[in-house]
Amino acid sequence: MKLNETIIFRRDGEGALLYNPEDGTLTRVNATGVFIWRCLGAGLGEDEIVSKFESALGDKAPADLRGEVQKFLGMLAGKGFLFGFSGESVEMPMVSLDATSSSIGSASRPLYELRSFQRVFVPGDALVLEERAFESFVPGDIVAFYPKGRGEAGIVHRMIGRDTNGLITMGENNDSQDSHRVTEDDEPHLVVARIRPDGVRLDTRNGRSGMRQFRWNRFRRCVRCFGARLVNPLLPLMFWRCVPEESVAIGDGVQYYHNRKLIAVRSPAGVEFIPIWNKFRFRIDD
Amino acid sequence: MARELVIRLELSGGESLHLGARGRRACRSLHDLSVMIDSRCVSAPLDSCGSILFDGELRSEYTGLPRRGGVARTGMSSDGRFAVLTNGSYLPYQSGEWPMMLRLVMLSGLSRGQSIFPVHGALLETGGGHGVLLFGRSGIGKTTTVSRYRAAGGVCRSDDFNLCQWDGRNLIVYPMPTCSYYCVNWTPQLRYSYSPGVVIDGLWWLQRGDRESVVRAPEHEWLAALAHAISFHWIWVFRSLPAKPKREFGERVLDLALTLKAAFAPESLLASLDGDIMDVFRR
Repeated sequence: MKLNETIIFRRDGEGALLYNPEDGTLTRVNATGVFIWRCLGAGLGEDEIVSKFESALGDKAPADLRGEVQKFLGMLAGKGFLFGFSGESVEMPMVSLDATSSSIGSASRPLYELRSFQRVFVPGDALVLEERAFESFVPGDIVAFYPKGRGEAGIVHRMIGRDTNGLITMGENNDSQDSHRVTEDDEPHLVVARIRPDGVRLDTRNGRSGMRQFRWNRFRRCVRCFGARLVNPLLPLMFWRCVPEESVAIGDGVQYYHNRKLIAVRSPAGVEFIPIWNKFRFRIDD
Repeated sequence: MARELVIRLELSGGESLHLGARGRRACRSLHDLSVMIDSRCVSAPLDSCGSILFDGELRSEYTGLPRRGGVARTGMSSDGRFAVLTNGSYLPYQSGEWPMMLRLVMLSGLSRGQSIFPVHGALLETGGGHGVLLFGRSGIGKTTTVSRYRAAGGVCRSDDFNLCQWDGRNLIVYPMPTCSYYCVNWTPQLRYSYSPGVVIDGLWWLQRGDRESVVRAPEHEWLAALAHAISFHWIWVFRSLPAKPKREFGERVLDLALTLKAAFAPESLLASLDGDIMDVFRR
């Protein structure tokens, strides 16, 4: 486990304030939380933290000490304060337009990454979620859900149907529909809008309109795939392709530039050329 | 239009912020801002600016800010100044270039010890150069509250972006244009009176309630909401920064939030659509 090194730790009485500049959330932890935070900072693992607690508390240690520690670590992982925690994360960060609760940290937004919703969202978009009754989801709705075991990393896919096991979902840019059926336990939320990195809010298309957008995007994908099948075998013959002049690493990805223009973006999902015909001019070596 | 443009935002206590642009498109974006807030263009060298918007080349580039249709790349020189290189394919009126520049110029000032920062919130003016600043998370009803306040005869010059200056005793707020409105519905008639600044008497955390009232808020939650309001316009910049400056700026933001916590009582406006918002000011 590793603490997120961008988190700012500030003592506040017996407890401490933890501030994450990446999403602006501020959380207060009590003295026990400070103790665990310091242990994590010293590089201790979960077992070592529990045994240190046991030796510090002696007979006063609660019966489910490990469970309590795990819960706290899960909360830290859920807020993005801790990396590499294998247990279950808690407290998903999301915005709920109708929420009236004022829990600290709930104001951060989930961010869209990867490519399953290419041409609907752009990586880096913040998604605005709205709570909905499970029964009220209709085909075409864009649904954000959090399957167990994925920690805070949620999935945003389009609902394309419903069966007895739950909602059938699929990414616009994926090969097939999801094998996982979304149930109420996955805490599905409706994505009502996206907020571009420059702060502009744009409503998403849900319901019947969303389904039309889905069909259109699937058609465009078919055309792209067909074109790629024809062209890709010829790419090695295009001797004029050159490597972009410069690259900038951002997070897990790399952006490639040529003449100060963005050429391609490498993400964990692969390389994407911007626009697509740049692949005839440039090559990105592995 | 000039190919180089500098505008100066006068603040209280003789302080000021300089924003500069080089290139036709960048100048045009900055010119839009100066028209909207009725600030003066000044003849000053670009080197005097805390933040420069470029169309052209950038020397000390280190990161990219993702934007629609490409990226804007930023660099920071050794003295802590920022510069933005805009992507040539970008449409000027959808780019939000000047908001980015404003954010960066304040960040640049922060690194030099200035206490000038953006706050995401609504400025409700109560008269005589005083007012209250309303903050809260997106979707909670700030714009609705502003509409109700205006409908009841109140004055509100900004409902999104506020340039705040802490001079050690007073928090002075200068209204700035609503970023999203500018980007989507820009018209040449849009006007936001930048000056005079408003002295803030209360920082109210907006929440929904059954009855319109101002109540004491839980201290830590109020502080968390305030820290988020201060971070809101900087989050996208912070995310693109390397770890070290990200931490340094984060420390400064937390300092600002704690300073304001010490200076203001944690109060919350419980807004109710059935109530009369002017009641809370009459009391």
